[in-house]
Amino acid sequence: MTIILPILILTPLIGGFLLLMFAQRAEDSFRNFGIAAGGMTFLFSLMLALWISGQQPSADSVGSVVPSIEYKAEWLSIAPPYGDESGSRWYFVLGCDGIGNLMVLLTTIVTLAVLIFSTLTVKTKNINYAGWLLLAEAGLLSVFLAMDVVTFYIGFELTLIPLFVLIAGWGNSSALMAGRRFVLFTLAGSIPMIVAIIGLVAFYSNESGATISIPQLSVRAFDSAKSGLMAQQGWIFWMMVFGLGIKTAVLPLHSWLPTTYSASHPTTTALMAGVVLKLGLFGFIRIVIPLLPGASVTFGPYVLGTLGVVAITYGALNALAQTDLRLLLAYSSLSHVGFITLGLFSLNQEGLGGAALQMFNHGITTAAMFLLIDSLIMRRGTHCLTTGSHGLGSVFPRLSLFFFFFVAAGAGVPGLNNFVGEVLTLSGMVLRHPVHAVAGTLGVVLGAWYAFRLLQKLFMGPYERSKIHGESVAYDVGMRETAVFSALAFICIFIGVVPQRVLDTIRPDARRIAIVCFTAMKSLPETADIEKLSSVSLSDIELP
Amino acid sequence: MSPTQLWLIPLAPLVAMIICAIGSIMGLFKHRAHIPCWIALAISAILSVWALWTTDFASGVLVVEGYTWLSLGRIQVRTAMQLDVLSLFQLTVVTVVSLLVAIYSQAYMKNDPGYARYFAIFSGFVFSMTMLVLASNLLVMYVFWEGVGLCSYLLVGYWLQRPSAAKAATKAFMVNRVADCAFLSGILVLTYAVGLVINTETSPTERLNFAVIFDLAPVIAANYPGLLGFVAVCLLIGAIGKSAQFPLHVWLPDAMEGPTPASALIHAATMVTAGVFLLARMSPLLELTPNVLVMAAWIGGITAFLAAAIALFQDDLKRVLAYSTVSQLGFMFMAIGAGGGRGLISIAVLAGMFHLCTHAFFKALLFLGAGNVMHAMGDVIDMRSFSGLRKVLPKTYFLFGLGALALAGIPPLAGFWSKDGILAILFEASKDLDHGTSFKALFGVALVTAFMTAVYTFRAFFRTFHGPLRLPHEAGDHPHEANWVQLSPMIVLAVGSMVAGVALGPTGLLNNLFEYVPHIPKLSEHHGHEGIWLAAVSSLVSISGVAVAWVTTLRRPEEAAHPSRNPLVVAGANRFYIDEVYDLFLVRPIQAFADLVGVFDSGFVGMFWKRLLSTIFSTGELFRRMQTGLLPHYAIALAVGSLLIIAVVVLS
Repeated sequence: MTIILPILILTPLIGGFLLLMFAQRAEDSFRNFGIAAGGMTFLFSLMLALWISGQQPSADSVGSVVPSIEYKAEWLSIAPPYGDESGSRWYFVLGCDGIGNLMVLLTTIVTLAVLIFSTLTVKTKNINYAGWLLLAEAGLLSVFLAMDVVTFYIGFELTLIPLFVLIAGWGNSSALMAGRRFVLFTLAGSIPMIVAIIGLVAFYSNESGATISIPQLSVRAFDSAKSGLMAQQGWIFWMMVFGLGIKTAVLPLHSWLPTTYSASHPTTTALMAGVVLKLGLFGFIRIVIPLLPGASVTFGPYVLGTLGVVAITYGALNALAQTDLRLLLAYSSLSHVGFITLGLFSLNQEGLGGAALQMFNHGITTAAMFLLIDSLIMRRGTHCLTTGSHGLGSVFPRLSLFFFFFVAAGAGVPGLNNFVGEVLTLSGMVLRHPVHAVAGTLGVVLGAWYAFRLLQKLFMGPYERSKIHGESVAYDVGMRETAVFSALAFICIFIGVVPQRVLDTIRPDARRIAIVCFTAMKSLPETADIEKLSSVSLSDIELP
Repeated sequence: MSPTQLWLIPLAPLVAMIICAIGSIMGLFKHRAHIPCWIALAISAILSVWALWTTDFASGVLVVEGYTWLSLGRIQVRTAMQLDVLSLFQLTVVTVVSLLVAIYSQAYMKNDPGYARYFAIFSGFVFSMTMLVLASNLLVMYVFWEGVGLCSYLLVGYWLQRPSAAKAATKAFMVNRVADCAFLSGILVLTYAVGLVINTETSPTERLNFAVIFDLAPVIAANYPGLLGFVAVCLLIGAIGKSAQFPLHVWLPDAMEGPTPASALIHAATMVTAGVFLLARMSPLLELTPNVLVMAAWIGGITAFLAAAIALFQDDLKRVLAYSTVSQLGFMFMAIGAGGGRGLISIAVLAGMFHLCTHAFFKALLFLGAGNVMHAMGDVIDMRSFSGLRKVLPKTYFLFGLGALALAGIPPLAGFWSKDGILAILFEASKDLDHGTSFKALFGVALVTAFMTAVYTFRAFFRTFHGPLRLPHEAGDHPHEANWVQLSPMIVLAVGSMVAGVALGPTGLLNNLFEYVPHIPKLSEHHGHEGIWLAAVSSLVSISGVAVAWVTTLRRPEEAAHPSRNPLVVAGANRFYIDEVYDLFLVRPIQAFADLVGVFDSGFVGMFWKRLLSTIFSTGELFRRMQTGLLPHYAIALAVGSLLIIAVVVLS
């Protein structure tokens, strides 16, 4: 079964290469090849998910990252560059736990949706688009499946190339500039990140040698948390936060996000907002918090938690000021990421689990929103909120219904997915710092404001046909669009109504990370959390 | 009753919603969408009456388990139904009125293109409302609290091509969201507060279950009174939003843009009473924060008076009824707020719930009557353009009149009994040592408002149905009386409006029911010698109100017809400019601030990074210039460099 992990990465990789190399010669026969490759990847990820949900990781593992399935490439190893006399080697390791599995599913679902959609709306070089999209998927999956820090870093950087091509090649006139900005920003983050990774490996090297394996590192992190030897983690933590923060668009490093989102083709943006934005967040939950628990408990709740609260309000206020639909959504993503940050750095089981779930939720909802915008532009000609046709509700009832549905999901209407994530992240934070959580609820109001105003402007009121009609499509959503949106809507409802099915798969992971953080907190008396500790006993965390 | 039967109460409307929604999307069964809705609501109504009848409340609270919705660490939420007298009583009111309004809707919405959509949202609303009422957990209650808000949004904006409907729907949702945000904060802080005092070894882990909250509330009150006060205020704000109390009442009158039956059900009889229900449900917690209850009473008093004053000056029949709803909800808030007096909480809840029940009947009746008028007048509802309708709508005239009498509080109709109950509890509370003065003042406010209620109700009644027959031209030549599908549910409601008060109040039926409300001390006897004179005063006030309405409207009709220049009247007609104040001092500043933040982000933050990047580029450009590619330049540089190095070496 472990062979499914490399297959999961190789399928889109090979599919993408095939498309880019051979497709120009026989375009017609390759028309749906991309969808087939994406579909296969999705099926593999579904198999993985089903397999993992029935799997219990071994109880004797003590680290905070414990993959329930692991693939160790015996044929691909390097000798450690320093500090090792025992002759052990560093292996290229893939693995998957509940949280990683959720991200893998998100990637394959969103990519498949984008692939299907791109056959409708990407007019030029459709086949190449699909090829690059599959390559990007391979890069993303390798990050989410990485179980050693080197693979993680390589995957993190590899996604950049296909993404740049997708942004610059199929966007509007300013897409090249935007793509360049995106790459420059991300590269600026990569340098501190590689330094931080080297620092991390060196920090945890002991008499039995240095290791790059994340599970092993997490065991050592747990030991250091128990003994309280964490004073030197600060600089590693901050460099890591800087590198990941750029990709996550943590304030004030978010400037690439609005320009890139509005300049790329909406299908590209769907992938960017849906999945790529989660790379950095995933880095927090996979590397920063489990491997640097001391620094996380010292700085996390206060500094990054506060940044999260600010991002919630700042993003929502910015969204309120936009007249461009894509910019509005870009800033709303910023706001939603604030909720996820809040959950992550509450550093308890509720917040971490909620953040992981919310990463998935936000990915699905936002990807759907950008695809909807694509559908809307097809019919409306413009993405501007103030000009262009209004009152589309009576003309395109089904499109309006989908729009309403996903706007409601994004605004956190109960019964749909985002509400569950928001409640859990806020609950996590309230058990850490009540004031932060209460301030975070402000985003609930502002988020609804721009969302429902958008609905009112676009879909309600009498139909007014504007003169701007780039490529007006007169019919309501077609078969492919309906299929994509219905499938995504089903996921939203499923998670909204029975979130426990998903939470059960990520709960053990969230719990392990929470225990590490709790241990670190106990051995750091200066964190001033002593008062809180009385209310957060270990028995609370170790609930079944 | 078996759990399966009980679960049918909320789930039958859910199934109806799904069927109607599919029908609406697929364009199936265009004119038969009411059938699944009717069947489902009939099942719910019958089962809930049966449940109220057969449940033995003395044996404690019955909780019917559902499934685990959330379970992560300390957050454990199960969907379960809590069947106690409070929830079953409210449930019965909700399902019975819903069924009647659903029957009425069939005729009212008959030729509407969105027929199936209407019944889908209608069923969805009933599902959410029943779950809200039955929830055994505060978070589950919040879920459906938002759910009913969403259905309300969809029904207010039902005719989405109308700009006014679009605006009203967004406004309703937003105002409710503001309140819900406070409610959510309250829930979150309560989670935290419970965590501070809970003993995880002995207590159950579902922290937001009502049973757990009420068990621990006294401990929280003893150790962290500030936290509990914060929670109580948050819950109160949530209730204020949903029940359209001052200062968040502005959405309800605009919500009349929706179809009239929806207004009758959601914005008069059921959903807007959810705030009152929340206060009643949380009364064991609120009892520990009497100041918050006094605050609730004051908000209720202010709202009741203000809304009644506005209702006096409105020309739109539906808006008069809407403001009247706001005002009556204010009465209910006053009633529950009277629980701030020591030892009065149980009877205060009783008084509030009693008025909630009778109000549901007569207000739904009045709205459906207004719907008949609208239908006959070709969707015109402005009382300036018609009068004397008793000749063309005799049955509606009679039924509407009964509702108006009940609302005005004329004995022995329902409104009289429940309003008398509220006056009695306020009078009782005014003897309280700590807050007696407040309640004395509120007793006066309630009396004055009761008088105003009678005046505006009968002004509207006389203006619509009496006087010379005038019809707007939209009505056509032959305005028609409603058919029997519309009239029969109204007759049931009219019977309810007549007998609900007598049947529940003086007979002690309600008292007996509520004796088993958990966590509330037993009802004490409050029917002393004051009862008689209070009843006399309250009926005198109501009758004189009707008389004043008669004099001002019918004896001097010219005054009613011509717009007054009296500043008070103008201000009243303009709803005391509260909407404008919000727009000017809240909406616009926030929007302006958002625009400012937008400029800051794209201008300042964006420009900072742009400058940084261009600085890096230009620095690179500087070094690039040196790479000219010309051999002589490199040779010279080489020579100069070598010379410099030699010089340094030699000289040092």
